[in-house]
Amino acid sequence: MDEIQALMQGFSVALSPTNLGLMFLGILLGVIIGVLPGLGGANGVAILLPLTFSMNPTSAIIMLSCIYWGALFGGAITSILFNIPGEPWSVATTFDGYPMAQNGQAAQALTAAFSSSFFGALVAIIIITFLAPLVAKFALQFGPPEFFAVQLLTFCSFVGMSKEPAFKTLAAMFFGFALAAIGMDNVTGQLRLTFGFEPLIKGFDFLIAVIGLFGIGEILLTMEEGLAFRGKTAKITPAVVWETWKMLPKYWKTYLRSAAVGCWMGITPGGATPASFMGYGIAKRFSPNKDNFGKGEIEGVLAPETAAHAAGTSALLPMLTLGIPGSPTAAVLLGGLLVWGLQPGPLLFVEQKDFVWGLIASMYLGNIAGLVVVLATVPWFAAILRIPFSIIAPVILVICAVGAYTVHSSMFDVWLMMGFGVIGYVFKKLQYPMAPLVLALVLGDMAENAFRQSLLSSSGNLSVFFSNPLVATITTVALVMLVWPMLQALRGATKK
Amino acid sequence: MTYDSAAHNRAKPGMYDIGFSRAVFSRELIRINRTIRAQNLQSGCGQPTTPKKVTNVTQLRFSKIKVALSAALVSATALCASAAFAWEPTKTVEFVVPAGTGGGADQMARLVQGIVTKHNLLKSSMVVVNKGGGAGAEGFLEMKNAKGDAHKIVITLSNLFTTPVATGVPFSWKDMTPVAMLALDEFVLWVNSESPYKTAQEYIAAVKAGGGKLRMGGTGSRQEDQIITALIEKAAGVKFIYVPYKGGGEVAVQLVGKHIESTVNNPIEAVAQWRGGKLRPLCVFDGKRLAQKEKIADMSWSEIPTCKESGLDIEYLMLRGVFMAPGVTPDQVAFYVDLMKKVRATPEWAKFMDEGAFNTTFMSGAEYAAWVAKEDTRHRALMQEAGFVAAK
Amino acid sequence: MSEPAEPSAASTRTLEIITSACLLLLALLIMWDSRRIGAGWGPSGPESGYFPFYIGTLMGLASAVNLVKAWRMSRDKSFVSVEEIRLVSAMFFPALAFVFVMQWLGIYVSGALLIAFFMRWQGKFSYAKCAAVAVGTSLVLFAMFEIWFKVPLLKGPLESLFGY
Repeated sequence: MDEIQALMQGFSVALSPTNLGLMFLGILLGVIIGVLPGLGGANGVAILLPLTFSMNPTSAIIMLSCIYWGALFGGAITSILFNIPGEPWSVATTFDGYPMAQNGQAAQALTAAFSSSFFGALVAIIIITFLAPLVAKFALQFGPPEFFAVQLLTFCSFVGMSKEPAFKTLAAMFFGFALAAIGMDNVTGQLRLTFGFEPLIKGFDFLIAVIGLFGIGEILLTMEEGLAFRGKTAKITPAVVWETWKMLPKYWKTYLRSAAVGCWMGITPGGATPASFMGYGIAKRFSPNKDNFGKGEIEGVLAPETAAHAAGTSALLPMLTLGIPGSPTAAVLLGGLLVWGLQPGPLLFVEQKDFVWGLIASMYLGNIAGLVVVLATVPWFAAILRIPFSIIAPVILVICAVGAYTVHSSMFDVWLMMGFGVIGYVFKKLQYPMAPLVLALVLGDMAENAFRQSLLSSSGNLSVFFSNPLVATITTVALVMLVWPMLQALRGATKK
Repeated sequence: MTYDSAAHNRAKPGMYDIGFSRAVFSRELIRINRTIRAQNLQSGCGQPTTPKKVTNVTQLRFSKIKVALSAALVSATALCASAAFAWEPTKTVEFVVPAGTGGGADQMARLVQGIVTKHNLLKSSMVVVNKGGGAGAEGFLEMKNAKGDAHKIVITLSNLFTTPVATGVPFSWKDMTPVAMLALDEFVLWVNSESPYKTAQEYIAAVKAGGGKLRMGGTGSRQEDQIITALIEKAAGVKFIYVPYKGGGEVAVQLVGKHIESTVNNPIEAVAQWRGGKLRPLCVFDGKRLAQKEKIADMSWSEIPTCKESGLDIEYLMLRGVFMAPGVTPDQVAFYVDLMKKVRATPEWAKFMDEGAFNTTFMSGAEYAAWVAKEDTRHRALMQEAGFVAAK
Repeated sequence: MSEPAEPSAASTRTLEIITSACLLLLALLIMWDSRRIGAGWGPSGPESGYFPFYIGTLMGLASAVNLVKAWRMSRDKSFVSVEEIRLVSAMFFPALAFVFVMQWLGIYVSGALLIAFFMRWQGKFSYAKCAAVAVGTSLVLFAMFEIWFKVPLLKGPLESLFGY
């Protein structure tokens, strides 16, 4: 096997003391970046990119990609502990991660999240190692209609399951779509729904909405119940890690499904955030504990984390083989490659063997290092919950404000975050569901673009969504997903 | 750029003045010198410093140091690295990018940041801030509102001209202070290498025969790619379906995957696919052929005919330039002009220019302002004609 | 939810009505603006305002239903008790003040003030502890963002005194 040999060569590159040191440094920086909302993997890599110009490209990419792994791991931490997603792809982790923490299972949730992230990454790396050329070809088949079909699938796999009142779900969902539509229409270049108000030109950033709705909203809710976190009674010993690990193998089906979803979404490239939602949605649909989702079900933590990390990792594949970034972070890394004098593309695997295989080997090592680092911090992070609320609440608030500000360096966004905080508080108390809102906010823009690009290409003919076997299959699966809950309800009704 | 020894001689004493005041003077100098020798940075010296600063005291110190340090150590360029200016940044310089992370402007800004850091061209640090909302309107408005703030510079692309027209957001280049043109980005007409078209004529003939069903992919809407498409449509009397995408890399890959028939990607966006044998360049939208003679795939950049040679009389180049906020002083502008000159003299910059097949024209001052004014008028006219003006 | 014995500050019905009415108004606004920029189906697919228009329409319909439902609700159920709203305000208004002051003092100074104030007021910690946590947090954030990651945040007069 050529790949094995090349990989071993890669390990010898990656295992040099300098590169190992850079690996741990990268992971640590990445975890910090992941924990801070607003400061994402893409920012982190972009910020540190100029520092790497004097390094050799292989060491540089090892460090930068490790920042990225660290950020992927770290995003889950604040989601679980404080209901604040540190990264967009950890929003779905809050749905069950935070309830788990409130039930006193913060350590279990963190362990499950990290281990699942690792598993997702591992599957993706194995695919990169052995199937890169094949997979690159598959990614090329994705044009606008296929992208739209995938986004439709993500959406359909998620909707139709909420327990909240139907009309409130609809209102919340369309509120999310409306927010996504504000700003520039990418297809015609027109501004819409800005009413001549300058701060609205840049549109509503997903992260600001999420920090407000989840983070600030949750602080207000917690205040209402008195000055305390419910999760502070958590039992935290290193043994929890082992106990949680013993539980995880029985969810092997969920793992495989989520990893498949994640790799698919990373390669095509759909992105880690939609992947995490799709992973969560599918897990919920197939799980025997369906009703426990949203109340602290461990499966609801591991499914989105596996999918997100698999997607985040496999997003590097189209970047290396095709030069298209599968995620914003990959886009910045791509810029780095060009600056270092490497051209990503079909020839990279042929011409820059040391670099490519060094990077792939560092993916294995970096993720192992990452898992060790974050697992070691589990008891420490979980212990944060023991800090008195009157200290932690203002600190979280300041960090949220910092996060909202960093997204666009705009004061307006901080006000916006406060506004979303109030909306989050009211919505939660009135049972307007948050998940469809944020999903619509993530997907709305992308889906509309893909839909309209498709129709431009087909001169307005809707049959474009069934024009070839690939897109027809995805569209059909999406529609089946959409009507399935209704069919099930119908079947349930006839049985009675 | 040529090496101006007269300017350098005049500059010497003042520079020592600054260097001497540092405690770690000699170590600093050795370090800088070593870096510079390694990089063979021989032409970084820009503007002369103000002669006012030359006093007897500093000259006296100068002679002492000259004895102390070996001649090799005191290389002219080392001095340039810490030249004294009438004005210098006193805090972190923000480099605003009116586009998202990973795009052409972002890459260039981050390269500049990297070069500035690596060669110690700035005493304070430089940070890159992306403000790409509303096709760059966010970043330009920020500059417009930062009147007199000399610690903010912005890199521009064509959206400086197109966004105000396309969106009606009120700003123009006149709301900012022109600093310098760094380079011009070329545009090339690309098709899939498996398509039968070998020349621009053949392709245009096919577009004509296709009756307006062939798709041209590009970055954004009502921006440079769509303007070029409109120019082709006008010059050749054809019609395309223009499909807008988010970024240039994505457009190139869509062409490889045959979801579109052609693109007008910048060289750097498509070069990897070309090298991989997936794309074919047909013609370049410049008045003259590209300079880079090195073979990329089956041919070199310089072998690509201009579009004019191929019967499409279209010239379009995209500005990669730097602006400051309005209301800054000439001294402050001079500092950044000089900084950009130094950046352009580094080997890293040269390599980047070469890889991206950039047009390396440099302009500053009145010449630059005149160029920008001309382009602004041209874009307005083009967009008016193509119907890309914002709805009222 | 609160016990019926506690005095209620606002009934759930009131909040339901306010929320659905706000969403309804927003929906109308969206529909109006979308019509302005063209909400039809052009020769090459939907125009700029097409999707927003229907998003607005559906949002409006759903909100209208919610409004009617809310109208019919009983007035007894409490949304928030007086005690609860007092606690929430204890967090919310200092937070608002923090954001307001941030515009002049920058994020670090106002952040430190918020932390110190809240710790002292709600947690009854000693002045020394309040100061230590507040200043410490701001310093850590400052080191991380301004120095380490080189992300410029909002700064005020104090920072410019030190040359930032």
